[in-house]
Amino acid sequence: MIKINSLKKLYGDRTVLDIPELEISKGEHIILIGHNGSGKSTLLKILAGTEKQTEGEVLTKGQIYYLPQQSIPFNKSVKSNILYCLEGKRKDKRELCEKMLDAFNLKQLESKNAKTLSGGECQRLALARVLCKKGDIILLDEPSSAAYSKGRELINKLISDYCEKTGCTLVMTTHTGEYPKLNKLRIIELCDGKIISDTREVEDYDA
Amino acid sequence: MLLSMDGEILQIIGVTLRMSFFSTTISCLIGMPLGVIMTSSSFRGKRTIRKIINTLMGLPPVVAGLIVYLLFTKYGPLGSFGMLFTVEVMVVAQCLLITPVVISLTSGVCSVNGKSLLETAKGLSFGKIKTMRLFLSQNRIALSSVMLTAFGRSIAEVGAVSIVGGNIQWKTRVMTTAIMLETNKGNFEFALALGIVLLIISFAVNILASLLTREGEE
Amino acid sequence: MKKLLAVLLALTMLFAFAACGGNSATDGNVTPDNVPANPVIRMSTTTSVNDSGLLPYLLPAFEKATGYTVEVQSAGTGAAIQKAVDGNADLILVHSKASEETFVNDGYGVERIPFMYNFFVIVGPANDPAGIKDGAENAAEAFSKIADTKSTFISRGDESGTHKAELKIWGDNVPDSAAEQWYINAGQGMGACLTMASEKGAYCLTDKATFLSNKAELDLEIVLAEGDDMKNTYSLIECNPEKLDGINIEGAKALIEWLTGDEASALIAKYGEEEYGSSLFYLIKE
Repeated sequence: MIKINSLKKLYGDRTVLDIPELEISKGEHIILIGHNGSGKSTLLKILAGTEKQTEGEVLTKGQIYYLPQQSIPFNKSVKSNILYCLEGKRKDKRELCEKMLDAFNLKQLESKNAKTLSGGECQRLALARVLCKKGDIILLDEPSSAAYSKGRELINKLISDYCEKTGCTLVMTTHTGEYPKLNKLRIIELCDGKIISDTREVEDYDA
Repeated sequence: MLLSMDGEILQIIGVTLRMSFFSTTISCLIGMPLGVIMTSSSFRGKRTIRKIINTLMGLPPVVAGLIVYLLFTKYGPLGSFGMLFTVEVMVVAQCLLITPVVISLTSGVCSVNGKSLLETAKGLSFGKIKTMRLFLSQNRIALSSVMLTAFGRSIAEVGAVSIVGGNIQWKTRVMTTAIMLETNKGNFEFALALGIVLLIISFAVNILASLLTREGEE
Repeated sequence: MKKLLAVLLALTMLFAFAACGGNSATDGNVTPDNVPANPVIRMSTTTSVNDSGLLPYLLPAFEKATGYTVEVQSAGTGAAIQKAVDGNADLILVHSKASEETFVNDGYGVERIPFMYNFFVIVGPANDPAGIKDGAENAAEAFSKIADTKSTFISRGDESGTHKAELKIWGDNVPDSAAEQWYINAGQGMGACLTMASEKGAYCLTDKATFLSNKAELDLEIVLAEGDDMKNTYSLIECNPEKLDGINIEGAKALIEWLTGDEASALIAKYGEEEYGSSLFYLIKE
């Protein structure tokens, strides 16, 4: 659950975000759209806590995982990148890691250093590092921007599978117009830091 | 000429390497985490601390030596340890000199991509220690050259070690103080020969380090 | 931090002032009626005569009277002589007879002129663990007591005049610093060795002048003075212009003449009397 109250973010004297009120309930899937500089990424950063708002209140409940637009590949093998993000028993970690590698189509790259991956591969790995964990709120900033259409399909499918399985709250940004097929979808459009439309897609709501 | 004295020279090289190894290790163990914190955390007074560290980077070795001397002198605050004129206290003085350098260089190295890396780590909700480890391992090649710089400064330093170490034969005499002594004796050629040995050691350490980092890259 | 910064700044300024002061002093020396052809005399000497304050006390009078400027380089006797051998000095003032004779015999020096002397003293902690105060007539006896009781002893170990004098006193019984823990080979100047002796409660052989001028900071006292084997003779030697290039022989001769003359004699005899109650250096009368 996320609750925002009279949120403002200023860079110098320029207002980049101005949201009087926004409530996102548990299990909702939010797609943030809007042109470059509309404040999508800033909103995610504030929700993730990597940036502080200038004014207002932001309440979140539960474990948050966040994929920044520029997620840095760790200077290790692809496999170790995922293992590094996991916790728990060694055996469980290995098992889960194998599953993730298969699902994200990274198996054949597993021993390559993550620094040498292409943009699309790198993005899949970054998403895998986030989605290998079980969170209550998942924040994804342009998770498929570097992928071609086929890769985008895979990524969107992985995201919707994850959301269905965990019942998490999702907030993701996109500017491609493609997004995961999900229940409880809600599309929020930002322009110059303000919400200009907020629509719930209702056709599958009762399913 | 060098061969005629080799027993003592080997002993001097041994003391030098022991001192530089510990100075480098300790100042990196202290300085690297602090350097990461200087980049990855924001806290009150950070700017002032950065200024202090930058000032300390230019601390003249003799002043560092003098401060440590006054701390460990017989009637000084730490005089009861009786550590003056030992290799241990030379290491202390060198750490005072080198740690600010390590902090500053580490923070410089880590600030490249630092913001994105920090976002990545925070997004995966890594704890403080895991984030620190990530920063260190992510920049390990650049940090190994920080370590070399620290070692180079340690092995070449003379002012602080001669004040607190005392250049005692068979005990605290290191390459640089031996060179100074030979110069004072008027044995300029021998002093130069010792200087060449010092250069060769530095060169060897550099090569060793570059081999290690190359292996790390693969 | 601010205090430290202030001190650092102050020091920087002091250096700047000192540098300026030095320049203007040199300018002031050039008086039109007595400008020597080559006005700079390079003197290589030991730390003991320079650091004890004797030369800074004497030389301004010489410079004022003759228009010369004396550049004094001070180092241990070994380095002081080596600098002259390398052609970087016009005359030397040192205190190690054997090295001086080698210097002259090798043709680098013209003549060894014994000039003044003082006494080495043995200093040590007040409780005098080796019992030198009441039990030793001369340095050799004192040293054997130190060796017998294995009391800590700091040796210069830098082949300076003082170190050579110390070795001469030990004779055949020079302790091996590798084997004997109590015999510390410090390899440093007189001041640093005295500091170390004070810290470690150790004995040390020193020239009296350096000890007296540092006494206030040291936890040491004189345990033996003026034994028959503790005389310390300083000699002047002008460098040989036939062997070395660029020697200011006129300047060197002028300085030696002045130092052995009446005016300097009177000044040297007085030196130290006011501050320490006794003369520090005695002239050798021929």
